[in-house]
Amino acid sequence: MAVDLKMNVLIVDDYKTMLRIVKNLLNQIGFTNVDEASDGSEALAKAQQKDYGLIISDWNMQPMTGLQLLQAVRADARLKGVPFIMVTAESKTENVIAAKQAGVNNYIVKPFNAAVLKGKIATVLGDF
Amino acid sequence: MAKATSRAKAKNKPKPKASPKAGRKIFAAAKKPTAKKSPAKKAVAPKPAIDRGLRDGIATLARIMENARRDLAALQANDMRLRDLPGATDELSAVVAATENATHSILDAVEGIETIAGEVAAAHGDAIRDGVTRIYEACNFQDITGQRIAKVVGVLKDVDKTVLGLMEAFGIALDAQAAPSAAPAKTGEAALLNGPQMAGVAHDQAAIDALFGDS
Repeated sequence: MAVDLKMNVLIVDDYKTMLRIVKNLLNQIGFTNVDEASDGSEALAKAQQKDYGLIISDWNMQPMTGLQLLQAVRADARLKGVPFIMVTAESKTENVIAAKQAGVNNYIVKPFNAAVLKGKIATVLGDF
Repeated sequence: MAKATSRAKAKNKPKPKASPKAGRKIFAAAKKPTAKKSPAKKAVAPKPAIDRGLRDGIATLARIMENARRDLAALQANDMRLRDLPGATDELSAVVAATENATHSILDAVEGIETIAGEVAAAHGDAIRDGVTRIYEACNFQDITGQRIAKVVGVLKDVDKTVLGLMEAFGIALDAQAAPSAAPAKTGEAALLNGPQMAGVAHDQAAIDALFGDS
């Protein structure tokens, strides 16, 4: 099945440079509707007001972390099914386990390359 | 406030424990065997040895602590807390700001190049896009180095807390009002080599031009 490249994608990171990088790489893949948030609470507010087909989030952010965002998304009746990819420098086994337990769809460790980002999105959403 | 009271508690608590009674007990125990010189008591003699060991140990500890207190005072902990540690933190923050600004400039330029890639012959366009992607990937460094530096800043703050704790424990006054003493004087050319200055302190090119007489 083909992925709808017109879907809204929400990217979340407290580093503005990282938001630009991910947005540009998503544009290269073909996603054109990309919104940005700089922490979990801003992302959650945006997700509650718009339909997103994918959330790509950093973990270590203030005041609300990416894990807390993931837990809030999974606990929300309307949002709980939104595909969620964690992109983070936290690469310990216990991090991956905690994210999986919270319901993450995939996990990308920083620094990452464009091929990995595209590959993980395909794994989560299907080929495009 | 809470800190002050807990500190006061901590100060008061050990006192009753280390009461003169306890000290006398040790002393008495140490004296006992020498007072009664019965051979039977001598046979069970290791006790005074232990007590003497304990006393020697306490004396050694006291000496070590006095030395540590003197070392700490000589370290000029005031300077460390008021000048060196904040200075180091500022330098690291400046590194993060500089890499962020530079990364945005790189991304500005590369986004412009990527736009042009759509307007040139396909083969060239692909090659340009490929290069652009690799630059995007490389710009990951700003996030990674930023997080590493934030960790080091955290360590410096812990060191600061530890130094403060030691100063309090050894009764060295922290004089927050005192201006930190000037950095150790360098002489000759070394005095001229200080690395990049902080923004706001540094002369910009216009100020240099004015100094140089080149307008």
